[in-house]
Amino acid sequence: MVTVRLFAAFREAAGKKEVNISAKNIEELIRLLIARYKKLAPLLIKNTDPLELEDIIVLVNGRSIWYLKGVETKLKEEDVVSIFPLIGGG
Amino acid sequence: MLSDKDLTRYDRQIKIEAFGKKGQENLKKAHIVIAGAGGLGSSVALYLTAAGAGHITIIDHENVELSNLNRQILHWEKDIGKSKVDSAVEKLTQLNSDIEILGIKEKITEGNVLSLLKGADGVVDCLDNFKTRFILNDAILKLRIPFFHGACYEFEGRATTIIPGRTPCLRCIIPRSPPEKKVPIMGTTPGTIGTIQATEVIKFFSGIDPLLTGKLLVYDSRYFTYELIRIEKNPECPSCGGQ
Ligand SMILES: [Zn+2]
Repeated sequence: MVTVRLFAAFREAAGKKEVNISAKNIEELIRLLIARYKKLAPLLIKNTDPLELEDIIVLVNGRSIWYLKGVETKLKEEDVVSIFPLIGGG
Repeated sequence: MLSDKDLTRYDRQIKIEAFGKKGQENLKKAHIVIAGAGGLGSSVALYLTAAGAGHITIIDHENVELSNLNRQILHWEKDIGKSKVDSAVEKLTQLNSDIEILGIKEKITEGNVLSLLKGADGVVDCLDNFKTRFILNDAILKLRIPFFHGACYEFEGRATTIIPGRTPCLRCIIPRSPPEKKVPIMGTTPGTIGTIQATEVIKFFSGIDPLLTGKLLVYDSRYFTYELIRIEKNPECPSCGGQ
């Protein structure tokens, strides 16, 4: 199982701060996540088919998926995926 | 190096064993650039001025507007229409006349960033957009000086301390800039995040560990949480190449 840590507004939408999901890559993980927690869908994705993510930060063990393989980034059992909104105000 | 007045003025923090006279002296020698005199900049500048950071340069190209006043506590009703740096320098010099405070009314660009940061020992990110943050991120990597990042949205805040060669850079975790827009911000959020950034500056220059290095602080004042996310250097990062 992959450990998914949700932060800020995403935590509120899911009503959970940590979720365990069995998924082989980020795309599968995001699809399972929004199927389980419907309120997360508009926050996480722009488009379902093909899957397009909102301006959010997704880290696999601390590394941004945008430098890995994006939504095709492969996941292993013990991976920790952190998902949170990108914010920039000051 | 410290005057009798310094010893009295900073007595309560000098009493902290980990900080002491040495920490105060090092802070007095430091030249810190605060990029942005808005919500984060107000909080950072007030605390660094009060703490006795010896040389502060504050950069902002905007003028004070009424809608700034919910969070930009350096600016008051009488300052509306005035340049933010003039308003900031006026207050800060009244708070501490023993340190050097300089205001620069300029927009930070790729062309002027290196000359604006000349002589700086560290840069505090008090900006409201990623375009300028990335310009600063690239410049601090070149200059090999620390960068203290902060950002806010509604009740949420983020902070991390970037040290070239030691930690991931801003671009490692945030590859692309999101669209620019006026975001909702509760006035107290930059107060808290700015205070955290100022604390990191003080700790860095006085040699107090641990810092928010390799960690992103995710703060939420609505649900009372402070959490740390481990962040890693990215070999594919266009700014630092994971170095
Ligand atoms: Zn980088």
